[in-house]
Amino acid sequence: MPEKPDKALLRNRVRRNLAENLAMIRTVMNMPPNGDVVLREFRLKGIAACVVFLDGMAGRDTIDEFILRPCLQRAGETGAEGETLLDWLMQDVLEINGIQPVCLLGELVEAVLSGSAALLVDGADRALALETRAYEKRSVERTQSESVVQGPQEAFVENLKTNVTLVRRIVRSEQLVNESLKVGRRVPTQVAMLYMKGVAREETVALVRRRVNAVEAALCPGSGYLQQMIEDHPYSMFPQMLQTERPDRAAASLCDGQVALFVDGSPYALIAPVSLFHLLHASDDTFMRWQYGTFLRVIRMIGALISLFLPALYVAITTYHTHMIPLSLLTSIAETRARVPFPVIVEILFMEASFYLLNEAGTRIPNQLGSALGIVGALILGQAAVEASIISPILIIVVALTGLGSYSIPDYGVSMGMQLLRLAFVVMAAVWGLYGVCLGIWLLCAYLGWMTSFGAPYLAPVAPRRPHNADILARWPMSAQGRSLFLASRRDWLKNRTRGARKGRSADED
Amino acid sequence: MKTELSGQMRGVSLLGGSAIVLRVFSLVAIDAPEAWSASWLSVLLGGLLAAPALLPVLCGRGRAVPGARRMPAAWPGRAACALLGVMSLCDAAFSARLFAALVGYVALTDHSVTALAAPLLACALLACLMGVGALNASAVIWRRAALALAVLTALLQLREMEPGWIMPILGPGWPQIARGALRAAGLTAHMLLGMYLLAGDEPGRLAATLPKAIALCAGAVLLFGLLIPAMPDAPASRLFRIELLADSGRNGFATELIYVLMIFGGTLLVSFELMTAAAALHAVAPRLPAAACVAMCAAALAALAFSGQSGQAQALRATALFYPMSLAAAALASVQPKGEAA
Repeated sequence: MPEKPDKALLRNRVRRNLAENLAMIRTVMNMPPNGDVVLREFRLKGIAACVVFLDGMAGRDTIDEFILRPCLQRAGETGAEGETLLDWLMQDVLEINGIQPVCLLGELVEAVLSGSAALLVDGADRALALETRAYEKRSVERTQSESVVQGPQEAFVENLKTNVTLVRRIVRSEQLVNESLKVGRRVPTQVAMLYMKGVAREETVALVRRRVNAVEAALCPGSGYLQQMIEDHPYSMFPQMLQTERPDRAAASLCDGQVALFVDGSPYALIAPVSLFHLLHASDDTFMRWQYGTFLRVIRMIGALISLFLPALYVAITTYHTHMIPLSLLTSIAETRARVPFPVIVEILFMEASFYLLNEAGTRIPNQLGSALGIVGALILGQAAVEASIISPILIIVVALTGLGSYSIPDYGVSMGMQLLRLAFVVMAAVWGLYGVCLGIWLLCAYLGWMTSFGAPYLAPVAPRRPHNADILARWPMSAQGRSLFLASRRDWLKNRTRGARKGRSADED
Repeated sequence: MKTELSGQMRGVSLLGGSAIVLRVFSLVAIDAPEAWSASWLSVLLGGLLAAPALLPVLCGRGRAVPGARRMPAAWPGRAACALLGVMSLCDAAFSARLFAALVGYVALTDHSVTALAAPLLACALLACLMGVGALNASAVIWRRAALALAVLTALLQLREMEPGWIMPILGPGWPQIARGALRAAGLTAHMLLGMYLLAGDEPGRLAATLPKAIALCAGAVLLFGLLIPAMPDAPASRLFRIELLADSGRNGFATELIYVLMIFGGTLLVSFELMTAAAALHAVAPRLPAAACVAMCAAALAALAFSGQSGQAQALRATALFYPMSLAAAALASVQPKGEAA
């Protein structure tokens, strides 16, 4: 990898000579031509000083009000120099709550790039990094991809501090730990690792920390990048971390002993470890009465199975196992297929390709043209293809059901993985019929059984079996949800969280 | 990919138990139907006969059987593993051929048995390379799906069942029942030893697995017996029996359900046998990497399954020897080598 420009310069210590420091900063920050770096020089009773900040990243008002004005107003009160002057500034003058002394030029530049202002004083071999971040950010809004009917509606945003605050507001516990990490060798990005001390397993926390620290990439622009770099199986089609944009879900996961990672600039929390079942759960399940939650989950599971297997089963049954179909339906299928010149596999692949195309176009198309896309999809690909005898009408039902099934999967990564696997199943069904589908299912089960998420078996607590709440497929009443998640520490202090709820109620009634 | 040849007994017992049910069912329902309507009795007797073969292991004297967790230190253990490995490999080949024939009869009539067995073996190889844990997880899913499918199949065919077809209970005669029992015992015993080899710990769970597996298998065979009349003079060919099995319910959908159950179970069975053979090879030659053991056993299995030496006739001859061989393996396993602490 080529060396980063000015790498040697960044390793330099802050010098006592302000002019030298400013010259180094100008070189490192490419001034000129860089126009948004501001170097505001002033004098403190005859001693030269300078505030360095990035226009737009740091708040000009904050710098004017709480750094420059106090400095200039009280410039005549001291005769101190160098280090003593810096201490005096920190203790008596600057009206900023976040002040960090820095010794290396690299640290100073990093602070400036993250929106802090750096105060350098002639004669001091340290500088002060002052918390003045005030860049533009999106306000907390409604969730986009994890909407619920009942329950909180706010979602994470791109700002790391806001996201951590959203979680802290829900989990008001002193045991909630927020560890600050960095990823990206060349362009560092701030990462926050949150976990509940005494609830999350120490070895899991250590593993997550180790993996994040081991990332060798030059930069990490978002949570999706980080996820791919720290997962157990980077070649797998299934995600091994849960990406959620809901603070309440992240908070619930933390209380279950999982670890949450927030990457600055990403409106998602990454939750680890997870099992496949976590990825098929939605927040709705918990907020509703247990009967509704269970019903929705069953519907979702059926949707997932349809998404994965329906086209393959259609190919297998219509090609090799026609006697499975009732005679009247078989006749109807035969009639509709009579005019279609292609084998079923070609029909299915054609419709699947059309579906993927529509899906992708729907994601990229401007909102104003969305209705046009619907017309193209419904009329041209559906009606016209049937009239042209390219596909049979029943296939449209199969593909439509498959599409609905894949949209019912709450996790986008799992949904995409299933869409890709579906094609493999279709091909196996076309070659070997139900035999191929059975072989595929066996392999898939073995593969999922082999996978792990940060050391936790991916199919747990079902395979291998672990003690767990009745909250995997069916969700039983809250009073039956007293256990900790199998991923939590054995000495989890949040154990038996719902025990006593009924007892308390009885006491009230008495 | 690190291939684990050992797992927890809880998972292995589920995998092995399912394999026992499938193998014994496929034997008495397809390959060796001599006991006809009393086949369920053969299965029960076979279970009883298999139990003594495991006594040395259950009594804690089976220290020479290395288990996958302990490497063998003495020759008796290695000899027992070698014997077990050969049995597993042969049985995997017989099973692969049998299930390929089933697929060929029910759906892919224009495919050769070799062409049908190849994907099954490839699938078993890939699953085994992922390790025992992966197989166990698959077995858990299979068990849940299989139970649901089996209940559905039985319900769909409830009206077709004729209790009169299993009467009189001892109709086929003791010699036939005993012959079936001997074969069932051989298969059961060698699979139980395989389970011990794959898990090594908690041998007590083997004792719990045996009655459950045998009861399930006997129940399935009994239900099957209620669906077809005894035909002692009918041809004993595998294809004829498959035809009976496939058409037993006279319900197209149920037929396919049985087929799906058997095929999905076939992959489980062949994978279990292949994994047992690989674990046995690893115990005999500990320096071989686990993945290499699996690959070598898969190659040997393919050679055996694709040759003409794994047909119905060979399977019947060989499975008759499984019981004494399993007893011998168990006896070797119980030998306490000199100098080794009890």
